[in-house]
Amino acid sequence: MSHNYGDAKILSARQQSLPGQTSLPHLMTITDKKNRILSLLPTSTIDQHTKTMVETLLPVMEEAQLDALFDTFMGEKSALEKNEEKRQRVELKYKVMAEKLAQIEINKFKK
Amino acid sequence: MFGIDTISKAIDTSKEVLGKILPSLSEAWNAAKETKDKGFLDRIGMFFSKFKEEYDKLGKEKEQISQDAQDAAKQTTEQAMTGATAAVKLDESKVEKTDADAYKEALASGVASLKSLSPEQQAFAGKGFDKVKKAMKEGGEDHLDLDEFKAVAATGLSTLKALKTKYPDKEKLTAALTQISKASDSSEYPVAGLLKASVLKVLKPSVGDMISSPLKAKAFAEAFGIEISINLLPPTIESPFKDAMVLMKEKELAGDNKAKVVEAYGKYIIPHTNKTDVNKVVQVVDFVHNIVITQPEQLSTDQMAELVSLVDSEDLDRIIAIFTGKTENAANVA
Repeated sequence: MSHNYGDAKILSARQQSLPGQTSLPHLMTITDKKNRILSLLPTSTIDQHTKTMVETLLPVMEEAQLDALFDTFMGEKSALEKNEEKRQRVELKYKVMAEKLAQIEINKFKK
Repeated sequence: MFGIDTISKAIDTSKEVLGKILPSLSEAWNAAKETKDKGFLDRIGMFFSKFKEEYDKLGKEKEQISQDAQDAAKQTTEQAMTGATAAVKLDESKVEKTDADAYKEALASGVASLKSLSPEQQAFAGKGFDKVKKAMKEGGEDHLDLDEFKAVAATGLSTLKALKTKYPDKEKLTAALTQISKASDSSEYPVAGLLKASVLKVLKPSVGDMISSPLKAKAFAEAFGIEISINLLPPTIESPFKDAMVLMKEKELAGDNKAKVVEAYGKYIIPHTNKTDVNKVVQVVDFVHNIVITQPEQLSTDQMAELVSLVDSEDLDRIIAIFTGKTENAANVA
């Protein structure tokens, strides 16, 4: 697999689960894996063509291929969530800094 | 250090990201302009420049996450279709990406249909497709046997049914089939070649196979609700379907004869399709019968789209179920 999330991220992704479901592939049935992949597909950022290909081929995929897709989409979901958290932190940090910078200039002007 | 224009641009860019620019920052900006405080302008320029740099970095990271997921998912789908991709060998350098994508999606439906068959049926389909390929490349009349016919037809119909589900509108279905056909011209299985009369002819199960496997032929016909007698060889199809088959061989199918064929088709083959559409289906099927005799004509993608559109989806499911042996009660529908 060519993605560069790293094993740690994949393991961390596998530890996430939807309510009432296990997320450990070795405890999931093939049907569970297919359902989980289908539930992750709508929010994935891959292009529509690849989503169609996944959806079409999913019913006949071998278990190793299902595992690979599950890892891919869980890894993507986890990485995107972390990216979003970082984005929010950066925004907050700069909002606070901008506020301070402005306040100093306003105070200087008022003097 | 930074010109006002540069800073203004950075602020405009950041406005979208930070939402409404902080009121206090606007106030400070105006104050700095009034007092010509170049130090503030430099600081604010540096501030926005740094913010943009960090923000763009996160944007690139997000793009990379998507790209990695895209590559990995693509790799897995390609693995799932390895055999089929090798068999059809689409030359992507000669095809527009959108056409190639449409072709691959149709191929994926075909692979899914094929792999949903039992291992035995998959083997029959493999032999059947080899005969079809041979007919396309070399000609000849090596007919499919009944098992090969059922497996190949089930795969083909399932693929067409998936396209019909995706494009319920007849015009869009026709456009999709035309697009797929165009792309397939650069593959090992051009749709235009598959629809040639000489190839359609080999799809028809051989009479020899019906004779050598009368019980199989009887079970197949009876799944459609068609009575078949195997007391004498070759197996004899009972009326009224037999009448319909005889009438279909006529050059001009019209009037009462056509009404009889329409009735038989409506009763046995496509019982869920409305009578007006059965009438149109029979017209296209009659055309196919005729071109098989008067080669080298071929079925057009428009006609194929018309057939798939006209036949009710329930009937397509029923026929696929009969071909795949996944129903025991199909005849009860008729």
